[in-house]
Amino acid sequence: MELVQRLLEFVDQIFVNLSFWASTQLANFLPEWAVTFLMMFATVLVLVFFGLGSIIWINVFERKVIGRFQDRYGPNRFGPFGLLQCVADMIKLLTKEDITPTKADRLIYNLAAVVPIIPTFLILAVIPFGRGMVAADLNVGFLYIVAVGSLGTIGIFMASWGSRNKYALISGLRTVAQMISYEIPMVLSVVGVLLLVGSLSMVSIVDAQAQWRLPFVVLQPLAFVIYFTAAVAEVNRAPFDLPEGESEIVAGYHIEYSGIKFAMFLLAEYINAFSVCAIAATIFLGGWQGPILPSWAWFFLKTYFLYVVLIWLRGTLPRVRIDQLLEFAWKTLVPLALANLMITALVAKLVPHNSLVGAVAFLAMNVVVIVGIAVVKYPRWRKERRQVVLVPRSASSEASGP
Amino acid sequence: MIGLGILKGMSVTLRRFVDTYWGDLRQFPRRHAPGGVYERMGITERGAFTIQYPEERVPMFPRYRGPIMMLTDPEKDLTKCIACGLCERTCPTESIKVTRAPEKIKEQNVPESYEYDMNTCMFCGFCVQICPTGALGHSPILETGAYSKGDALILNLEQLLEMGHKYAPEGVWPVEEKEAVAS
Repeated sequence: MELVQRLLEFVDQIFVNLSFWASTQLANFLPEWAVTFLMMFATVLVLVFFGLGSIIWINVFERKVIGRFQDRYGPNRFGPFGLLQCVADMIKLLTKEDITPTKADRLIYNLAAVVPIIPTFLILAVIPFGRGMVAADLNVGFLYIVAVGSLGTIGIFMASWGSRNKYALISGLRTVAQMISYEIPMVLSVVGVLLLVGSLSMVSIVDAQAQWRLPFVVLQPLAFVIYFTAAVAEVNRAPFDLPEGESEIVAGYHIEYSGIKFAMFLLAEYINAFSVCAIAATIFLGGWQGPILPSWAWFFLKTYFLYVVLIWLRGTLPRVRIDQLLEFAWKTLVPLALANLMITALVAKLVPHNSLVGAVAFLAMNVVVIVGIAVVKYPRWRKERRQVVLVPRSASSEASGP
Repeated sequence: MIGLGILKGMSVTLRRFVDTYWGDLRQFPRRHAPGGVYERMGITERGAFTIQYPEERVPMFPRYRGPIMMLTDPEKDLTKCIACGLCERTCPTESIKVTRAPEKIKEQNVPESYEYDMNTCMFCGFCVQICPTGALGHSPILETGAYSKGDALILNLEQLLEMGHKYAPEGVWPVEEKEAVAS
């Protein structure tokens, strides 16, 4: 038993120990500042390579899973179970001709292919991948995520403006409207959790869930749903993929891009989707905590579970219109998030923290909010519901007859 | 509107998701389910209905217009072609060249050579329609690809007759539906 526990501990801390061992080895023949610098550099390299590696794998993963949701097999030809499909895709993308439209704004057009990736990698820095496995434990972690995450909009808007293309411009306008609208409920929903934690640091959010012995999804289910919905819109995925809108505006902001520059957008999009899942897993599902398995394994299990839910939504729901999208954000999500925040603040003052009583109180509070809003709004939804009138076949054929 | 429709839709896709894996387990060592493609496409069927192309093929339709083949009269054991040259004249892309043999066989004119160029053929089927003896038919060949547009795509008399023997042994085209099977 002792041995098993030590083995688990070893596997759990393998990456942390590796980094510690490397720094002690370097300290033998390098001054302290050089070791610190090199270790930071190595961490950044690991994160970047992790991002680049995971996009390759996530791409195949998503295509296979969405295929299953749509009654077909995904790629299953190249390699075992089609797992090497990503290699073929990469070779194809890298060898394609790189075209810059003659009328495009060259500087902005070319710069825009690089800009969206930078924030995606920056976000990875504050995510705790396991116990002690965080590149930078900022005390303003969540604020940093919000600030850096909204930088991606600039890249997309640069791409849409620099392309000098009608579809791209429409897509850029949609992107800005959508991202600004959904940023608000996304942040507001997490503020409820931050009230319980009392800190913005991602590590302390995970620690707080250890103290409660419950993931925050139990205490704040409404906030989780709001956050996840807003996050889907934030990373431009179906059913909120209006900026791409293949059937309306061809491909949106990356319509003019080809080859490696197109691959950059793809990369940014997939890593963004991965990182919102990772953030949701950290804030609401308890992060790296879990029994038996090593902490980083739990983190990836939870993240990939949420990613499958993302794919599941994409495989199920049709795209919404831009007016429906904004209406949903401002009329449904923002009021819900505000109500949740207000009542959470009240309940958090009244009930004891880190106890079962508190958990039950928070759960009851969420139920009250959901039921209350449903009761207040239901007559109106009922009224606004589109009525489908079934006309009998004989009557309709008479009407259309000569 | 409260989101119940979303949950309902998601349950449908989840069932599809599970069903494809269940189908995989049932057909385990094979890549596709046994039975025809059309059986799998029914609305009551579960699981993926992707046609796993190189391993599994869709049967060609009886009137599928593939490369032409020459039919043989099984009673006379002789080609039905009388080398009249109508196919050569009617071909819009001049893909057919026929020459008549100097002597008749069994009191019938026969072609000495017949050259069919698949490079230029557009599979319009005029030759098959105009043939007075019904000597031409469309073979159900789907894969006509070649690495170069050379001799590989120019078929001669022997090859055309061989295709006729293979795909229409009765000497009639179109072949009955139950006999029209994949190549």
